[in-house]
Amino acid sequence: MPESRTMAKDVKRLHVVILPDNVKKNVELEGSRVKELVKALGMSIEEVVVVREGRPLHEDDIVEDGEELTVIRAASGG
Amino acid sequence: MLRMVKSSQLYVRRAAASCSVCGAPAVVRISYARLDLCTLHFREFVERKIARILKKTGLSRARRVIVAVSGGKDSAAMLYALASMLKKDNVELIGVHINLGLGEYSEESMKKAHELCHRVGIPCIIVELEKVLGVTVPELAKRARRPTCSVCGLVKRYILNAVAVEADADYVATGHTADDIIAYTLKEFMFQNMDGVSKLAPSTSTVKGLAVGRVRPLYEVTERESLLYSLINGIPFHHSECPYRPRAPIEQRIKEFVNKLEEEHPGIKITYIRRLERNMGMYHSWGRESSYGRCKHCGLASSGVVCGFCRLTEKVTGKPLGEKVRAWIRGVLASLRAEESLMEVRGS
Repeated sequence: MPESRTMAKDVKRLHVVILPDNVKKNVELEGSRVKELVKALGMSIEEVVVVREGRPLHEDDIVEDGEELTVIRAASGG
Repeated sequence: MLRMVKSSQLYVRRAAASCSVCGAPAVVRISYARLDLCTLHFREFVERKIARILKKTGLSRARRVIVAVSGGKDSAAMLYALASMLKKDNVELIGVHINLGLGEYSEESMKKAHELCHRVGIPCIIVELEKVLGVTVPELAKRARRPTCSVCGLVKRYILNAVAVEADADYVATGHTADDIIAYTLKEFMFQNMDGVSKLAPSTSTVKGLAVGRVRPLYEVTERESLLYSLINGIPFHHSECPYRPRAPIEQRIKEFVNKLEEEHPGIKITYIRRLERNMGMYHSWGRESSYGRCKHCGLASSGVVCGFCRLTEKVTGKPLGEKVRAWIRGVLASLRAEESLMEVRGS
């Protein structure tokens, strides 16, 4: 019984907005750091900046369950 | 009164990393330099890289520089940095924005470019193609049956150079980043166009009266760094993809690949960029000896009898429009000068 509860607690539900595409995604993240979120989105930390309420986050910063984050892609076209 | 917080919540509020320089909460990790930096020291880090290029290219000793402002994050970061870093050097900066006529995208970009120039306190020349030429980039491309991106590049290069020649500027500064330079040079290398590689140096030289040299202050600054620099300084920019970009541009793919490589091998980008800089002389000597002539219509640099811009506009509108563009620019510059002297009179 405690095992399933721990599992549920470790998964964080995040609302992510990806810019400039303006794509909204709900991510269930097993992990707690910004860099894990970026990886889960299939992106490289080298090409994005993750922002919480207008403030850029460090890749080791902890994300909170239920919060909304903005992932800004830095790479622009040719 | 102290509120009881669970230890997990307390952990959340503490910054995960602190600045390697001052210990304040860090906003970014620069893996290759093994640094975690706060906003203040990140700003210094970026400006130090820019300062290196300014010193190398002699930009801080220039009299007048044309700054190409697209409205996007890279040119925004560049202009913001140049305006604050060159203030003490008495370099005159003139912003130039070209409205290419790509619908809503161009309108938004133009607004941001104007806002940014106003914010940093420099004049902004806005060249609206539809008003100056009577045609937009997509119309030019369609009627000339050429790819939109190649027409767009040609038009932008021509107009920036024309403004710089008319303004008697020492340099045209563009917001190309390290990632752009890496992607362009790798692409040129794949096509074995060494002459193309040699044109992507931190600066190119001026041919008096024909072509004004380019300088790329963000040569060692990555796109991610320029985005973060713009965000932390609250610099206005338009973040959007061009509606006319191809679905999978080669440059974009190279950037994605190189960023994956950088993640696994931190430092590979800066090493490439610095060695490229060092070897530019060699690529230059491998390239074709580019001898410029004068376009018989507009008088600006041309590899043939007629320059690419005059050829394109003649094909589409029946008349080469280079001289028309130059005359329009002369008019704008004259009114800019008149305005400035009026302000000086008022000020004194």
